[in-house]
This record gives sequence, structure tokens and C-alpha cells, in this order.
Amino acid sequence: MRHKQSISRKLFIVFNTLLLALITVLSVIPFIHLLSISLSSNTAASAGEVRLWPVGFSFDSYVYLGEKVEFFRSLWVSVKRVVLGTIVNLFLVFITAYPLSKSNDRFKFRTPYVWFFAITMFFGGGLIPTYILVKNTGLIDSIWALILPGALNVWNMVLMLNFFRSIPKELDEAATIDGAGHWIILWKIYLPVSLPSIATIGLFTIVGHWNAWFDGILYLNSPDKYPLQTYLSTLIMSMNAQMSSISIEQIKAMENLSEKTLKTAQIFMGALPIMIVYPFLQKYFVKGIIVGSVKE
Amino acid sequence: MKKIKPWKMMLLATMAVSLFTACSSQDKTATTTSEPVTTKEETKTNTPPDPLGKYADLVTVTEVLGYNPPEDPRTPQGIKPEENAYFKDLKEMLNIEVKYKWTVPSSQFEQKFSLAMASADLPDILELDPKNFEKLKNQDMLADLTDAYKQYASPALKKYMESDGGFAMKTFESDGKQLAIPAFEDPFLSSQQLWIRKDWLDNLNLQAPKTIDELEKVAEAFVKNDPDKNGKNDTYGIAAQKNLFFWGFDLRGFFNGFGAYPSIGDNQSAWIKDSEGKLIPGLIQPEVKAALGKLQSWYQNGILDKEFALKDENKSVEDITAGKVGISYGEWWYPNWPLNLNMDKDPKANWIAVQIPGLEGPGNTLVPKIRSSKLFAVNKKMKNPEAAIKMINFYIEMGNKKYMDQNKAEKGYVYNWFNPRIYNPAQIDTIYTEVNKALDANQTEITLDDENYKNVADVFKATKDFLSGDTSTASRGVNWGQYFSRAAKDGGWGMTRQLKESKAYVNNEFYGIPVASQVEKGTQLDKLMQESFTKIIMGAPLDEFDKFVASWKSLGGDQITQEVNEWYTKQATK
Repeated sequence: MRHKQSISRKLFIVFNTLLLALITVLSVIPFIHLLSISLSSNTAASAGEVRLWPVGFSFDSYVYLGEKVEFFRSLWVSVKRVVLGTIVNLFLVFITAYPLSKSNDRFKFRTPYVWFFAITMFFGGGLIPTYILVKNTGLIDSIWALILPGALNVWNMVLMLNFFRSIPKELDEAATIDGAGHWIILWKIYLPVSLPSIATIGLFTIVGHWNAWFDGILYLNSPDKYPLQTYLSTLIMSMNAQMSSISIEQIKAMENLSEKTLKTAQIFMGALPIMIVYPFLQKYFVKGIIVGSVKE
Repeated sequence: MKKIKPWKMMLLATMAVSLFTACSSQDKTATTTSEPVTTKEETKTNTPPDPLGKYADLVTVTEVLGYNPPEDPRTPQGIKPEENAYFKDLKEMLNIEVKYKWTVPSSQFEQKFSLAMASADLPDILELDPKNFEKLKNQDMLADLTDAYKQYASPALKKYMESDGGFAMKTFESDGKQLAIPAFEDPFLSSQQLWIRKDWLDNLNLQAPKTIDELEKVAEAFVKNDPDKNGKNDTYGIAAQKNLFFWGFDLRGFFNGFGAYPSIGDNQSAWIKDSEGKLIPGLIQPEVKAALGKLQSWYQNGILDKEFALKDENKSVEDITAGKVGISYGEWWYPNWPLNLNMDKDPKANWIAVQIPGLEGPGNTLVPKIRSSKLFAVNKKMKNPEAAIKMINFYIEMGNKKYMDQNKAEKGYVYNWFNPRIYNPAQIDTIYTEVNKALDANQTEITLDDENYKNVADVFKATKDFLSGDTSTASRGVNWGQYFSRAAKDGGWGMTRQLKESKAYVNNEFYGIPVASQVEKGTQLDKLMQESFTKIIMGAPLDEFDKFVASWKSLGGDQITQEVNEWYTKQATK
């Protein structure tokens, strides 16, 4: 398939490339800025002199970061959370979406069930009731408090459900004729066929778990259990902007606070894993949905 | 996925959004449920109460902690709050064990604490702000500390609490019951002065300004005449940021110079006494208008940064550190941070403090009646309320000389993780006097032997190091910061003492918790003020100020004034 290269098409390609390049640069600049601050000397960083290239090049912050127990402790918590959370989320989404994707005559009470889930998309219990619920179920202060509330993401479930519906009925019917029950159809047919959408939802989930920080603050009672993002948030938000006067103690804190380079080093390292994961899962986005399973 | 129709997508998206907003708007509305408290056991001992007496049986005390990372870089890596070495000593000395119900970064403390209040899950010892104190007091959740304080408070603690004539303590008394022990500081710590770069003045052959007009000339020269002699036009006159009234790098001092007292730093109006003895809001007085007029002209000729309305305090700090600005209004502690950063970056830099310039000669600064944002109370359910008092005694005691070899950050002592901690309200003044005494007598060591030893000795060492150019413990800037903020006679606290002695100050008379209409309308009025003032500075006609005053009054200001005056006649401890 070769397009005739008309002038307008050439123009389009030039502009399109330029526009996309611009967007790319805009997205990369903050990371470059972070990286250069983390590689600069502390005085240059606290004077705000660093732009896109390190000033007073120094690896000190990364050397110091290597000894920072808190960073690695919370990194490990984050890894656990992402692995556990993604497995739980995907499993629940997968087995919930399957029955709900069937038509009303095959699954009699489908509509009430769909509403049961959909209603949580309109209404939430609010912060305090949710907190009390988590507390009374004994999840407080354990990693499951980060995973089980919201273990089934209804939004993702709806995505999956709609994807299941796009799978040709013939596949299902053929399997039934061959004597397969629901479990076999689910695991042997639907699972392999829906890998692309699982990858998509999996990526959403991974990114979501990796970036979530607020639930860590709410449900975990000691900082050594914090996932990485919660820990990072404690670094950058240690000053309360609401106060009207500053106490002697806070001044002491300010005096010691100026380790800007170390902070940026940690923030950069915190963003790195997820940037690395993206390209590997991306290929699933582009792949066709179901290729050549049925001929109509 | 192609099966999802666009309209469905949009519907889902709106649902999702409405879900999030619904969640986030509900967090503050829940009401607190209080459990009836019936038990209040008294621990009877026959021995006379000893402020640091050891309990025969282990007493377990629960606390919660809003923590910041350990401040001292020498603190052992990875230490957890419950491993704080203070607790080890506390157990040995008093047989008290502290258990944390939870710990949370201090920026999230407020939210997590309201959750705990809402689910009635409070610890034994409470660190409160005045607002939460009032809530818990009204729900009758706080223990009466009157007897515990009388019997167990150590002489040092009593001395601290009486240092202001019992004024602060009285604020937290209700029906003759002492419900909290306030941590307060000398109110004069809030007084404003003008920090200015002496080396720039010298470069341009200028004198330190005493009046607004002189300040204007100096600032103009700092903008135009290349004060840092680097051949580049890269400096501006006076540090300012989007918050006109804040805890630092703001313009409170500037307004004070005009005899205007708009705010103590919280964007809410300050309250001054008029000739009839009533309280009037400083924010809407005509002097404020004059000051705004001056700021407007300064914005035009570049004395204020053109982008000041987009800057926060961090940006101001960056500019000061980078040597882009050489004048800033502020409190005594600036040398401590961030001026020390500038000193370290530029060895030629040299800052001095002068009294704020006024219309004719130096002006008066606004000083609050009380400077306290935090207090310690005890849960009514706690069996040993006196344990809290003993713990305060313990913390004060640990400042003594005999603990100095032990009490060090590298041995795991993290003071900002220990609660309840009360400081000497006159801490800075004690340091100033003692260090100067030792300097004048040419001593090599501090001879003082009481609970202030550690604080005094630290500043004395930094001072000695700075004066002799020793940078083995800390950089030149850090040593100078300690010296010039606390010990130097012409430095931060030295200057504040002079203000206090020459009575160059005006009091903010209101110090209660916000009155009802302030809680309700405060945010709106604050926003109105920010917008109107910023607009005027950036070039709107000066008469906008009169419009602002009219709206301020009608939008709740009049009601606030009335309620504040009611408070003043009824409750203020005069």
C-alpha cells in the first residue's frame, strides 16, 4: 500500500511530525529537569539555577540515595503492592466480566447485577465511612488495606465486559458443542483471546497502584510500611503552607531541609520503573484484537 | 473495545468524575461521635509527688505522631519513630512506655487526626491546635490537669508557664479546670525587621535606610546600579511573593512601616485598639491604602519583581540564595535560613538587620499577644494524667549538661519525634544573654548548668566557630546563621530586643480561636483581599481599595468585627 505523495499529504506529515515531536519534548522536559537537578551541586539547586543541564555536576545525591534505607524499604513495599494488587485486580475483573457479558436469556439476573456494580460508579461512601469500614474489617496497617478496597475496578470491568461482547458468539458456541463448560471456555478460549485487553487493563492497574499515595497515608499507621509514592509525598510536602508563623523548631527543620538534590534524585528514581514498563506493554495496544479466529 | 459507543464513553467519564468529586468533598463534614466517659481512676500514692518519680509498675501511654524526617543529618539511617532513644531513657527513668497508635507525615496529620476524632479512636496524650482543642473541650473529652500540674510540674516547667504571668495557661482554662498545657514562645519572635545586604550597600556607597523614602532610593539603586558588580542587570529591589501576609518573605513589615497593621501573617485581619478602646480591623484602615499606592509605584519601576504574583515562598528563597534580591522584610531567624544559603554560595555576601523603615524615621512592628499554635492535652479516659506532666518534665530535664554526652542525634535521639515537648518560652533570649555573657568574659565553655545548657552550648559553639573561621562541624553560612540570628548584638534577636525595649511595636489584640463568622466567611474574605490587593499593586486604580473595604464589610466583615469585640469585652484576659 503506497500512498501517492501529494503536496498536501507531505505537508500533513511534516506538521504531524513536528506537532508530535513538540508534544514529546514537552513531556520529556520535566524529567530532564529533575535529572539535572539531581545531578547538580546543592547550592546551585537551592538557588534555582538549574534548568536542563546540571550545574556543578555531582553524583553525591545518588551515592547518598544508595544508603537511604527508607527509600529501598518503601520501594519494596511498592513492588509487593503492584504485584499483588495487579493479580487480584485482573483476576476479579476477568471473572466478573465474563458472566455479565452474557445475554439476559442466558444469565437471568444479569441486569440487577450490572446495576449492583454500576451504582458504585455513581456513589461513594466518602472518606470517613470508608476509613471506618477498613478499620473495622481489620485491614488497617496491612498491605491489604491498599489492595482490597477497590480491588474490583468497575470501570475496568466494564471495559473487559465490552471486549468480551465483541468476541464472536461462534467461538463460544463451537466450544459448547465440543462439550466445554463455562470454566473451560473462560480459561481456554476467552483468556488467550483477550490478552491484548488484559495487557491494557493490566497497565492501567500497574500505573494506578504505583502512583497511588493517599491511601497509604490513610490506612497505614507507620512510615516504614509506606509504599514509595507515599514516602515521596512525605518528602515534598513537609511544610504546611497554612501556618501564619513559624516556630523555632520549624526554622531548625528548614535549615536542614535544603537537600533538594537528594529529593529530586528520589523522585526521579521513583518515576523510572514505570517509564521502563510502558514500552514493553505498549505493543499490545497496537496489535489487532482478534485475528483470524472465525470466518464469516 | 470498539463496541463502546461514544455517548456511553462520555456518560461513563462523567460518572467517574462525579464519583471522585463526591468523594473528596465529603471528608470534612462528618460529625464526631463521642463516647460517654465514666471511669476516672485515681492512682493513689502515699509518697509526695515527685516530678521525675519512677512508677512502680510500667505505665503505657498511647500517642499519635505527625512526624517530619529526623532533622539532624547525623541521625542513624532508617530509624523508626518508636526506636527513638528518648523512649529508652523515659522507660529507665520513669517506667513509662510510649506506644504509637499511628504515625503520619506532619502535612497529613490534620486529616488523619480528624479521622481519628470521627471514629472516636483517640490516644492518651493529644497534641492539639486551638481549633481541635475547642472541639474536644465542647465534647468533654479532655482530662482535668489542674491537680496533676500543681503536684507534678517540675520547677522548670512552672517557671516557663509563669514567664508570661500565666497568660497562655489561662487561655486554656475552662471553669477553673486546666485542660491543656500550651507550648508557647515569646510573642516578640514575630516582630518584623528589614534584612538588607550590607555588601551591596557598600558597593554603591549607600547608607542603611531609616525611612520609606530612603528605602525607595536604596531599592532603586539595587535594581538599576548593578549592586553585585557582575556587569549584568539581574537584580530586583525587594523580595515579595503572592501571599502578601505570610510567615516569611512577605510584606507585613512594609505595611507596618506605614502605620498599617493589616494582618499578622494568616491573611485574616489583625485587630488593633482604637482611641475608644474598641478593636478595629487593621486590614481596612486608610493607612493600608497609602501602602498599596507605594507598592503600585514600586511594581511599575521594577523594585518589586514583575512576577511576584506568581511566586511562592520557595521562589523567594531561591532568589535570595541566588543573589537576585538584597532586601527582604522578615523575622529574627532569617540568617538561620535562608540567608545562610546565600552566605555559603557567595562568600562576599553580608546581611544586616535594621528596624523597619517608616514614614518619618523607623516604624513600629505588629506583635501578637500570644505566639502559640500547639498545646498538649490528655484524653479523659487516661488513667494517669500526671504521666503527661512527668513526660514534659522529662523532656526539659534532658537539656541538662549531665546528659549531653548521651543526648546526641547520632545516638538516635530524635527530639522532633518526642511528645509532649515544651520549650522555654524565653529560649532565644536565654541563649542571647548566656552566649554574650560567655563571650564578654572570654570563656571557652558555657558555665551555665540548667536545662537550657544544650541550646546555649550549641549556639556558643557555632558562634566560636564562626568568629574563628572554623568550618569543621558546619559550613561558614550555617555557623553565621546560628550566631547572627541568636547571639549577635546587631543580629536578629539583638535587633528584636531593641524593638522591645524602645517599645517600637503595636499589639494584635485578638488571640482567641476564630469567632463563628470568621470560620464561615474567613476564606471568602481572604480571597477577596488577595485579589483586590494584587490587582491594585499590578496597576488597578487605587480607589479599588475603597470598593474592597465596602465589600469586605458587607460580606461578613462587620459581623466579624462585632463578634471579635464581644469576645474582647467578655473573654479577653486584659
